[in-house]
Parts: sequence; C-alpha cells; structure tokens
Amino acid sequence: MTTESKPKSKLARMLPTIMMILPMVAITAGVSSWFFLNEPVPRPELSKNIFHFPATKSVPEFELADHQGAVFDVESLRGKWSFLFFGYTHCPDICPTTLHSMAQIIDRLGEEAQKTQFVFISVDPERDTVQRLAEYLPFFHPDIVGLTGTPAQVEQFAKAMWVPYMRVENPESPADYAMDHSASVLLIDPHARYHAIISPPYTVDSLIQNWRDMVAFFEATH
Amino acid sequence: MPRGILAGVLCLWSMSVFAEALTVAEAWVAAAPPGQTLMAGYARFINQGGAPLKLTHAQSAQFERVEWHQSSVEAGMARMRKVTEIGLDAGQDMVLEPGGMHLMLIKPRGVFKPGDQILIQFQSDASETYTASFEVRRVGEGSAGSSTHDHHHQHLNH
Repeated sequence: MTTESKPKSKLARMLPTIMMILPMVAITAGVSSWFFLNEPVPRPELSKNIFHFPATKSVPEFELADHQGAVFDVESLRGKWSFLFFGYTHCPDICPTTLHSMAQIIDRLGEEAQKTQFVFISVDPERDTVQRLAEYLPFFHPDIVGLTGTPAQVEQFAKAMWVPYMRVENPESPADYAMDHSASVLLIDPHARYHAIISPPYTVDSLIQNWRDMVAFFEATH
Repeated sequence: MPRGILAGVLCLWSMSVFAEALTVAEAWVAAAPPGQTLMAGYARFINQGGAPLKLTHAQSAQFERVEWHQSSVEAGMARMRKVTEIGLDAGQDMVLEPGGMHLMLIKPRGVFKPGDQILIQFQSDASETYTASFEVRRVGEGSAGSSTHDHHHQHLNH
C-alpha cells in the first residue's frame, strides 16, 4: 500500500513559524504594556491608625512664629516631610513622652532625618511664648521646631489641621488650667500638601516604617 | 501628758502598719526642661497588707503641691484629670507610668537634675504617712532595676 501524502495547506506549512513567533509577540506586548500602560502604583499597606489621603490637597496659608522668633508659614513646609504634633509646655506627662519619642525617631532616622522636620505646635499660646518654647524644646532635641502665635493664629492653623483642643479650667488654681488636645500626628509632604494623619497608638518603630512606605509610594508616583 | 504619749504610741503603731503594708518601688521623677513648673513622678505602689488602702494626700517639701493626675487618650484626644485619691486593694500592685496615672509635682522649690532625690510623703485616709524617695531621671532611662522598661513602653497611646 502506498500512501499518497497530501500536499500540506499553506497555513499548515506556516504553523511552526507562527508557533515560534506568537510567544515572542505576546512577551513583547506584555513587556511594553508593563512599561507604557502606566499601571497605578499600589498604595502602601499601612497601620490601621493611619489615614493616608487618597488625593492631594494643599495646606492653606497660615502664619506662626517658630521658637527662634522667625516666621513659619506654608513655605516653611516645602522641601521636607513635616511631622506636626500638638501640645503645651504645662503638660508634665503626655507631652514630654511624645517629645521624647519624636527625639528618638530623629536619632533613629540619622541621615534620613534631613528629609524631615519635626514640629511641635503649642495649643496654649497664652503661656507658651517664643521664649518659653526656646527654653523648653532643646531639652528634648535640638532639631525639634516649636511653633506658637496669637490665639487666633493658633486656632486657624489647628482648624486647618483638623486638630481640636480645649481649655480645661482648674477652679482651685486658675493659672494652672490644662489643655485637652488631639494626640494625632499630621504628615505633610514636601510640596506642603496633606499626606497622612497618624492617630495613637503608634510606636517609634511603626511610625518610621510607615513613613518609609509612604515616601516610597510618593517617590514612585511623583 | 499620758494621753500625749498614748497618742504618740498609737500614731507610731499605725504608721508602722501602713508602712508595712505599702511599698513604693521603682520611684522616679522625669527630669524637666529649664523653667518647668510642673514635673511628673512615677512608681509602683504595692499594697502587701490584707486590707484595702486609700491614699488621700501627697506632699513634698521640695514642691509647693503634689497631686494625682490621670492622663488618657479618648477618641484621639489627650486629656489629663486630677484624681483625688488612690485606692489600693489588698495585694494590689499599681504601676504609675508615662501616659497614665502619675504624680503631678507642682512648682518646684529649686532645680532638680538627674540623680537628685525627691522625697514624697503619702498620707492614708487614716492619717498614716509613708515617705518614699524618687530619683530624678531622663524620660526613657526607665525605672530602677529594669533596663528594658523603656522598650516595653514605647507605645504612645496617650
């Protein structure tokens, strides 16, 4: 018996070539789409107590004085990551503990700290003058910036930062009133835009790690 | 005169009962920046007696006033409130540490540096007294005999 080999169709003859080319086309398409379709950068997985702003919004104009007596305004927030936290010097327990933790963060960041500024804003401008802050803050860390202003300036800034505070009277000793205040840390990006609100509880380690993740996200998207 | 002696003996007796029951350990005061009019003291208060104790008053010759204060964070707000007395159940071990209950030392009479000792006298509701020595330390240096203290309390939940 003889078998007559059928002449192969054109497509069948080209099949091996197609089989070779197809994966190459697929790979090229895949790689180029990876480069050109501009896939969104995944948002970092942060601690639950961090609100990471979904869109960018600029910090409004404000004016306060730093503990050296210089003007501190929205321009002072540009070029660095700013950690803003609120308190008052007539606060013997919580505020020194927070300031100590911020000092630890600055020391732990080492060189990286040059990208940041740690800013303590007094919610008690009546007692916390520029001079008082200048006396108080260097005890915790020479790089912590202290801000104060007129009561109206402080109120305007705190409102812009969604930071509530409230005077609590001391009937036995009126001069020794206390201030309830938000324990959150506001993170402002180097373009003076809101980036995150960090609510307690947080640790020195978690704050550093979360900040690094947010910086990596920011740098990949800018 | 005999009544005075009796009162004195009774007083000594009650003092020793109180002193036997109460132990104040790991007592320290946070060193404060210059010009600070308020300081905070921390310690462990242990009631080793068989009956509850109530501390109603605290004072120190080195400060104008000593009060109990409770710090807390509620709904994201840091607060501080005066507490009028401290109750210790039999066997209770109460730790005063940064961010919670503390002694508020008001208007120091002098400047205190790390290493200085501050004597604080506590009084019970039965007018018994107990004096404890608090060492001035930088925050973060922890309490006596516990170098890992700061490590465990890095939580800023206050």
